Amino acid sequence: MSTWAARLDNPLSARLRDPAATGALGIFLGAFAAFLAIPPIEARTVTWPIVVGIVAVALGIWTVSRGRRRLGWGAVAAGVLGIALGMLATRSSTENLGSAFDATLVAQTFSFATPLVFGSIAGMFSERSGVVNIGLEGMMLMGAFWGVYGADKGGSWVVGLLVAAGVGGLVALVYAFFAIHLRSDQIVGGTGVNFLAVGITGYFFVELYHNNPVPNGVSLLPNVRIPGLSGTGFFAQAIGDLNILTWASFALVILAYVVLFKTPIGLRIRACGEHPRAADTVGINVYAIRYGCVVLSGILVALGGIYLSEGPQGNGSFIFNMTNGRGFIALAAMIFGNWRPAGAFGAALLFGFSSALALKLQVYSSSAATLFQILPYVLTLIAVAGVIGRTVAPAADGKPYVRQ
Amino acid sequence: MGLGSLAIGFTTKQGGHVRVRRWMLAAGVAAIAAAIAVGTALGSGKSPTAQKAGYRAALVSDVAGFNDNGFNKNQLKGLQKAAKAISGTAFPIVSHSSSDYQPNYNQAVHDNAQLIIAAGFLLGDTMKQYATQYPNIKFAITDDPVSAVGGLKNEEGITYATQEGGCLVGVLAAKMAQKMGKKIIGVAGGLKIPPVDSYIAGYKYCAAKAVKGTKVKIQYSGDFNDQTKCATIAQNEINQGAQVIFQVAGLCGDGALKEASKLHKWGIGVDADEFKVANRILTSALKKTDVGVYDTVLGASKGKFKGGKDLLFNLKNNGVGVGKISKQVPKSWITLMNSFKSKIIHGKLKPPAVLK
Repeated sequence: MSTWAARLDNPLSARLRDPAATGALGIFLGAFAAFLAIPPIEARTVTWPIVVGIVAVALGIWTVSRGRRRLGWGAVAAGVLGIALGMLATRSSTENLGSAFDATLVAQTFSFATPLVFGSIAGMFSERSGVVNIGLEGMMLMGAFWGVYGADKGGSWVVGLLVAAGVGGLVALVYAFFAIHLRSDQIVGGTGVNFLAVGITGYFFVELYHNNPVPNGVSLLPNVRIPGLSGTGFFAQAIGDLNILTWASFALVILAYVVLFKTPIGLRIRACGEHPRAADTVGINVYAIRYGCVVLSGILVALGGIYLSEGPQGNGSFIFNMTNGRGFIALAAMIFGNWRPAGAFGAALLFGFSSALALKLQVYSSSAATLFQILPYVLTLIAVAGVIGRTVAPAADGKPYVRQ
Repeated sequence: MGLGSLAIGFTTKQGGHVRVRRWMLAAGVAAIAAAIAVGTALGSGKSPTAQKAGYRAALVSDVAGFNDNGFNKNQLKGLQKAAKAISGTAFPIVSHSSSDYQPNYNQAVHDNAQLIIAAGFLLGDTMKQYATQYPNIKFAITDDPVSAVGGLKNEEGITYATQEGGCLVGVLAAKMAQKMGKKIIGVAGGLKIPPVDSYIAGYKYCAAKAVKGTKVKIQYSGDFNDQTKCATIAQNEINQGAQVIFQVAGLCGDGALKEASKLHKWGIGVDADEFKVANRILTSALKKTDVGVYDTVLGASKGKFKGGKDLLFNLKNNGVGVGKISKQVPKSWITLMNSFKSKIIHGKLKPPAVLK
């Protein structure tokens, strides 16, 4: 008897009885139901998606009965959607399924996500220290242009990377002066940065390249080929040939987590974002921390920008306003991820996955292309409204600090 | 230390704070006054010469601006050449987003333009609105028949039979794919709109005529600027077996051409001669938008404006065509392509303009 009681007190089983965990498990199973019907598992009968989907729905209903209504209904919806998608997938031809859900979908997801990961982590550093950085879009654009310019004139992608980081940091420094010292409205200042970047890059692109595109043969950011992973295997195609900055973005997520949550400097940054006066009274230089974080944010987001122009799909080209709102999407990913590195990474991957999938789905119908292109936004709405719910910003985010 | 002292300077010396502001206000007022003075001086100097200049023609670009890979850029060339030929004045007005269209048309009306040319299909709605509102100004639109913009008496459509150019590059694409071992060719389209689809329709039609059994993969990026999307589409189509990628997506499509070259396949450019965009360009399907705009401005300035009708530019009058062809294309293919060309010119072959 005593062992039975001890097992009930076990933190693991207690966790399993927590409605939040069952709800999350239900959502996961719902997604898994749809996943069962596509490669590489590719069950050709509808039985498995339906069974798994029903389990997800049941878990959802149980969660609702325990009071976690939002999570519970999310699991129910995920289960129903999973069954529907699974049934659709089993009805489609294997050839179409194979070309829509192949290993390159994974590689393309990472590729679309890379600039967003850099952008969202950049925004996180700035906002965790208490400065809203809506100028991410502009700083990203500056990184994209000056990065390709540096690589072109300097003859190496390394030069491009350094130039992009330098310019990004510089623009961020100017913005920091306005936001921190002059205490101007941060939304207005950031919007100013965005317009400034469009003008500066547009002007210098015409001025430096005389109305021509960037010439061919610019040194590009290299891809990392993993030894032993080559050919046409699933993992070889999925992660065997990712760009160096994509790998760097993975490292950045881990690094950002360690720095922000496991080191004294991270604690200071968060203190400045939550209660700058308290941080000041214990001797933390709020201004220095905020300046440092905003400049770091500019450097990081500019690296996301150079991926657009110098990455495997940019191929060394610059186009007027080429960021096309990615800075704002990165900002959304950060909020969506609740100002946490892992959350922001997940949100960026969701955006990346749905952008890649929207293009892939055209094997079914190219005339529905426009319809598929709303996919990233629909998925975001579902995720934000159904699952994530309220997010909490750092308490002093966007409020200039005045030392007494 | 430096940061702290500066911050104190801003917060404690309240008097100084205000004085700085007043001083800045004064400087600002002075600067604005100077700017207005200079502006009026320049303006008064400009207006007499502007009135002297003959015919006034404006051109409003679409979202890609005048610095694109050719579609808008060539229209600007045509406009400037025409203005020179008739010693008139050209008013090129650049748009960067669809929200620029209306202010730009206002600008053109304000400049007293006698002819306002819309640089593409995307400006159709705005043009229709202004053509209704200003019956005394003449309007023309590249790439759209006049019936699609209301068919008013002060409107003219500048249309191109791009399916004919698409047909010719389709012949070369099909031959190249056959030679490379898989009879599959691809298209990276921008938006699914008639001027894009007419290229694709001709390409598909003649590819199947040139090499029986050629399959065409058609996908749209939904974008004319974002190269990453078109590069991804090219990658997807090549994974599905495509050997040649025809881009019909403006700047976005250049990403598809570069991706095709990188994966050792072939690309085909669009609108302008894109031979230099990447290493492996088979050829380009040309739409000579400069010729169209030039002829339209010249015609209108001489009072030969065909209100409510369309001007048609095709292979016959050299309004569409083929760009530079890669040296790896054998002569026999070019002969085959030319036989298609003469059939089209003589009306024996009619590539469809609508994609089925």
